[in-house]
This record gives sequence, structure tokens and C-alpha cells, in this order.
Amino acid sequence: MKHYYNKKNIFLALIVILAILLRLVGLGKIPPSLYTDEANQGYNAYSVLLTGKDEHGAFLPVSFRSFGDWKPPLPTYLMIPFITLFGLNEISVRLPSVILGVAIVILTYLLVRELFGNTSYSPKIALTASLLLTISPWHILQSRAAMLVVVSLFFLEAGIYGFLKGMRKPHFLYIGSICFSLSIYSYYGMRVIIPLVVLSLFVFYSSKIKKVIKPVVASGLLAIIILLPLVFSFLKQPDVIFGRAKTVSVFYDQGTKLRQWELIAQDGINYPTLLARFFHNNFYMYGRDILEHFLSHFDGRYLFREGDKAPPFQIPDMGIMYIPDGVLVLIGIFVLYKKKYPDRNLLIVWFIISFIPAAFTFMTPSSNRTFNTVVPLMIFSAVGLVYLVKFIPAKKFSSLIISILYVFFFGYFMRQYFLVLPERHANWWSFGWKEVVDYVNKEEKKYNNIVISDVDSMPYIYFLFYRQYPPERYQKEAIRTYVADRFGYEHVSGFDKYIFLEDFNWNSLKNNLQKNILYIVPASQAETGQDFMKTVYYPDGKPFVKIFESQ
Amino acid sequence: MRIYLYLLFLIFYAAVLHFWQIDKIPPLLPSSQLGLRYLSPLLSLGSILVFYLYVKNLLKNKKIALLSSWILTILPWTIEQSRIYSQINIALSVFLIFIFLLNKLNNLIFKILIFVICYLLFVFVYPQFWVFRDSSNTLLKVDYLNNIFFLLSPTFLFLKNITFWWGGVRDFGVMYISFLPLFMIGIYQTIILRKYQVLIWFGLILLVSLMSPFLPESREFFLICPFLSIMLGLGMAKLKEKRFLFLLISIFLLYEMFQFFHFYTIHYPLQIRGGIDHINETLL
Repeated sequence: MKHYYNKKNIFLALIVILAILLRLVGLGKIPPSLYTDEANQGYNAYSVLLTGKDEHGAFLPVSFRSFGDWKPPLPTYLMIPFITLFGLNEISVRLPSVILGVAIVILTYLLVRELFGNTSYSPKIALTASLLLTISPWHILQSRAAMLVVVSLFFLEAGIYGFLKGMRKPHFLYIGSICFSLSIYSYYGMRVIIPLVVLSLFVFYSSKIKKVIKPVVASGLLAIIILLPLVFSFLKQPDVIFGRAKTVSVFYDQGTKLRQWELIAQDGINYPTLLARFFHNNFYMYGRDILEHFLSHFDGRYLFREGDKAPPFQIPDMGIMYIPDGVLVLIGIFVLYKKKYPDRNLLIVWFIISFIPAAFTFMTPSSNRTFNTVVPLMIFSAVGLVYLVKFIPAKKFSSLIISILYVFFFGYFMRQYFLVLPERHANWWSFGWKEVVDYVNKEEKKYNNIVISDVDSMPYIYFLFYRQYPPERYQKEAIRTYVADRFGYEHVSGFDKYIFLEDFNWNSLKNNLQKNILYIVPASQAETGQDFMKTVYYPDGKPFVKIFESQ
Repeated sequence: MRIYLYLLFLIFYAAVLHFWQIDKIPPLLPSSQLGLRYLSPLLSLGSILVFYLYVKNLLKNKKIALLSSWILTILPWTIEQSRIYSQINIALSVFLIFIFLLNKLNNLIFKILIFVICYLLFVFVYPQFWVFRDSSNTLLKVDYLNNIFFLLSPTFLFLKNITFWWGGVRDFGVMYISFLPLFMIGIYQTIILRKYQVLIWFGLILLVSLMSPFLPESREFFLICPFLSIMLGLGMAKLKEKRFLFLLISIFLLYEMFQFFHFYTIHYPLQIRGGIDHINETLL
């Protein structure tokens, strides 16, 4: 009994309770609405549950075609049990992230204990890391939304933990191997990260691996078997491996190429071609570009002040970390090297590798693509905090000051996330579609067609999701050209009596109205003074869409 | 004796870097005074010497002092500023004399005297310094947090120095990219070797720079270059232990230096052609 009621376990239990509360309270309403990707995964899970097929009619896919961005499958499949239990709603869609988010907090505790072994600070660092992760704005934001990366991080961390534990208890190697493989099914970035992490583990622990070589080989084979469906799927459709990565890669962006041409032109026609190539070659130009994207993640303005500017990952007026975290991370890394902790290189390599997929994309800094760094960062931070408290004089007073600082920053985060975000970023989270669908659902019998603007987001998915439209019917009715737009997305032109117009232009449509049609017009295109039946508003009172009836 | 030969060679090397085609790059305006432009590189050569003596005195290590002086010589920012009439470059010379003497002298009265003299000299050579201008109204409007994050951002330090929009080679940071690992090791070494003086000056210059109401179009942060050079020197000395990595970084550094001179001689004159008058060629 003593084992279960010791101080460490009580603290861990309290941290876990806090983690659950922070991730579960108001889950259906904060973030204020389902993001398009969340709604899409939810509906596809619903579709697989009822028909065994996704919205495109593919049987148990290993990559969901979705909006043409080929989403990794595991997060979608994980939603199925919750949709079975609680129905198709916001909470069912987000619950896997919540549960795995909390699991990451517990796993981090276990991992730190494994990494720091029998050192006297191991329990303190482990508990501190779990606590910092529990209150991390970055981690909370991702755990409360179904954005793939929480699922992938959980399996990555579990894979690393399984591997480390497997050095002493070989059967854990199989668990590690399964988790690494599942992580590859969870997020595209993992298809770069996992091989690099596994390679690093083999390099760092080569001497230990020799002692458990048979289970290592067997677990490797197990991983290959688990990944076979992905390989077969790749042979049929190459896009399933990296999805939309092509359209967000630095090589797709023309900026670097144009700059290269500009510089070569500036060299002049008399400049030796060989020298021009020596100075303005692809390797240097793109290498520099990639490094710039990589380093952009270390800018304090992004980390502590503005956060991720890409929708919907920003918490208004704050970064993805607290300012004290930044100081503690630096102290932590310094201590790890000063004290020569044996596993420090693993943490550093994990930290650096996690930026690689994002560095190859032109939309940086990206908190979503680099989410895997949150665990090593919080471990560094915890090491920094534990040693700072140890070495500074007036321990109690200093601890009080640090606690007050964290309470202040955490309080600010709570305000910004739970009160400000739902108002300020409602549009980023596609707020309003639920109300539109509810309204249309009641009124649609009166009309021949419903014409909806497809200018922003993918409204068709909200009609499917909130109407719980029968998947079997949708798979037959969906009208789609499978022609990707410039961002790589494939739009749906219609189903049933719904028509989605990509080039919706109210100014021209209103002069050519057809009878008995309901138009869903973006507020930005709707002029005041016209006779709209209903306006749907954002929480801050600004109009989202206006609904027009043509008699 | 050998170290002094190296030092002599370094001064010669710096002289070539600073004086070569100084009348053409960057381009001169008809109204520019070429004589003024010569003042900057001359003082820079003196600065390198004083800096060497300061580091030698601080670290008690001639090799690292020489290495740091070489790094100070080749930093993109110091080359740019040494080849124009730049108030901040002249101010750097005064500042280096000040910190050298402050370290060298033991007598408090002399120290105070040196402080007063250097302060007055600083006021004379760098009247544009925001502290000497009437900035009391604008100080409240400064976004300190944004400024500190800007000055410490890797993009600014290693990729794009935009603090001197009309006169800087914007395609290079304060340091070369190859200095990134050396910088990280250097910071670690500075702490391990307890050379807190370097960190204190770093912190003070950072503080003064981030308070500038004119940032990013403000050059106070240029004074950080000697302290960056010390850290880089320490980092380089440490990295020598890993020969392969050291060789790899050295080759890339050489390539980057070629890159810099290519940009400086070909692209930089084109880049600044619209604002040559902004590069401070007259005494204000």
C-alpha cells in the first residue's frame, strides 16, 4: 500500500487530474467550433463506422483522401469508438486527442524516470516535466483539438520509452516497435522523424543493442509487417506517403528560384557562368532557405509573444510557451551538458529532428509541425527549474517567486484561451456553420436547391457532419471533379440538393437569381440593404454569412 | 615571437579587406569626402590591435586572442562598417580602448579618469547614439520585448541583418551561418570558464540596443561584435578537438566568406544604389 500512497504518486495523480480538467472542461465549445480538418476526420470515422468506407468510397483506407490532402489514418480510426459511444459530435472527435494528451503527461513522467535513472533528481525532474507539460499552452491547445499531432507524439514518445525500457526488458521492444509504426500512421512528419529517431537510438545505444539483438531484429520485422499496408497502398497511390507535403514544400515555393535568377542576372552577362553557379547554386540557396525556416522556430517573438500565425493555431496575444520556460530551457540544456547526463544527446537529437519536417516547408514557424519538440522542451525546462531552485540562495523565497511567475503567466493563458480565443478567432475555427446547417436543415424542404459559397473552408463537410448525412447515400451522390486547387485541395461541387460554388460571386449571382433557391452568402460579399432572411454572427457580433431566399 | 608575426599578418590581412577598392565599393557620391572614408578602416586596424590586447589580458591565452581578433576582422558587419565613414565604427574603437584600459589599470582614480575621457570621446564621435538625442518622449513607446527578441533572433544573427537598411548587405547576418555551432559552444565555454565579463558587456550592450527608439534602423548593437568574437574564438578553440567537424565548418566558412565578398562587390552596390546618401559620408 505504501508504494501507491507515496508522495510522488500523489503529486503525479494531482497533475493528471489537473491535466484532465484543463483538457476536458468545455471541450465541445472551446475551441469555438470544429475546424474543417476535425469535421472531416469525424465524418470519415462515422462513414467507416457505418459503411466500412470513407467519404470517397475507399474501403478501410490506409490514408484518407479527405480534401485531397490525404490525411494519415490512425487519428480518424481512433475516433470510431467514441463516435459509437457518444454519437457524431465535437466531443467524440476531440476525445482521442484529450486522452492521448493526458497520456503524454503520464508518459513523460515515466520517460524522464527512465532517462535520468537513479539520480537523486530523477523524480523531481519527472514530476516537474509532467506539470510543465500539463500547463503548457502549446500542449493544451493541441490536446483540445483533433489535429493529428497529439496522436503522433504519443506514439513517438511511447516508442522511445519502449525502446529504452526494452534494453533491460526486451519484450518492451515489441511495444516500442508497434508504437513507432503507429506513429507513422498518425502524421506525415513522422515519416521523416521516426526513421531519424530510430537511427539515433541505434547509434546512441549500439553497445546495449548487441545484448538484445534477437528481440531487436524481431521487433524490426514486426514494424515492417505493420507498415506493409502503407507500402502496398503507396504502390497504388504514391500520394499516400507524403500527402500535401509537395504543395507546402520549400521547393514548391517559387521565391528562392526567383531570387536565384535575380542574383544571376545581377552578376551580368560577362560574369563567368561557372562562378555564377558557384555562388548562386541550388544547394546553397535552398540550404539557406531551409535553415531560415528551421531557425525561425527559435525566434522569441514566435515562442513567447505572437505564437503561430497560421490558422487556427494561435492563442491571441501570446506565444506557445511562457517566458520563464525560455530561460529554464537554456539553463536545462546547460545543466545536461555540464553534469554530463548520459542520455542528453537523445533529448537534443529528438528536439532538433522534430524541426526537420517543418524546415522543409515554406509556412514557418509552425507550431503544429514541430509539436514533437514540446516534450524535450518541457524536460529541459524541468531540469533547469530543478537545478535553479537547488543552486539559488533563499530557496523558499525563490521558489515562491518562480511559482508566482508561473501562476501569473498561466492565469494569462487561461484568460486568453478560454475567454479571448472563442471571440477573436471564431472565424479561424470556422464558427457559424453549425448554426447555418441547423437553419438550413429546418427550411430546406421549401427549396429546390441550396447554393453555398465555397470561397472559404470546405462547407460541404459541415453539412455532412452536422446533418449526420448517411455516408452510403453521400458516397453515391457526391459530385466532385478531383481537380486540385493551387493549394492541392479538391472541392466538392455538390450532393443531394446542395450546390457548393468555388467561384461564388454574389454580385453577379444576385442579378441572375433562379426561383426557389436558398443562397448562403459570405458576409463580405453581402451588401447591406438587401433583403436577407437571416444573418449568422460570430461571437464578437460581426456577421459570418447571410441567407437569401429567391422566390 | 611567432604570435606577433601572426598578429602582423592579421593587421595586413585586415588592411587589405578594409582598404581594397575603398574608393569604389560602396559607391561614392560626388559630394562624399573620401578622406573621411579612410578614417574608418584606419581606426578599425587600431581596434583589432586593442581588441587583441584586451582578449589576451582577459583570457590569458594568446592563441584565442588572435583567433578572436581574426573573427572580428572577418565579421560581415565589421567589414561593412569599416569601409564607410561610420560613427558607430569609430565609437567601437573608443569603446575598445575603454574596456582594455579598464581591465589593465588597477588604480580607481585612473579608471574614473579613463571613463570620463572615453565618455566624452564617445559623445564626440557618436552623437547619433540615441542616448545623446532627445529620446525621452519616445522611450515609453519602445516595444522592449519585441526588440530583445529581434536582436536575439537567429535570423538576425545569422541570416539577415536589417539594422542598416540602406547600407547593409542584407543577405548576411551579424555572423556567418558557419558560426552557429561555434556560437553555441562559445556561450557554453564562456560560462564554464567563468568569463562573466564577456556576458556582462553582452548584456549591457543588448540592453542599450533594445532601448533604442529607432530599432531596427539603429546600430548600437554593432558594439556587440567584439564580444561575439570572443565567444566564437572560444567556440572555435574548443571545436578544434573534433577535427573532422572543425574541418567541415572551416571549409563552409571559407565558402561563406567568398559568398560575402561576392555579394559585397557585385550585389551590394546594386542593392544600395537607391540610397547611397543614407550611408553617412559626412560629419554630422
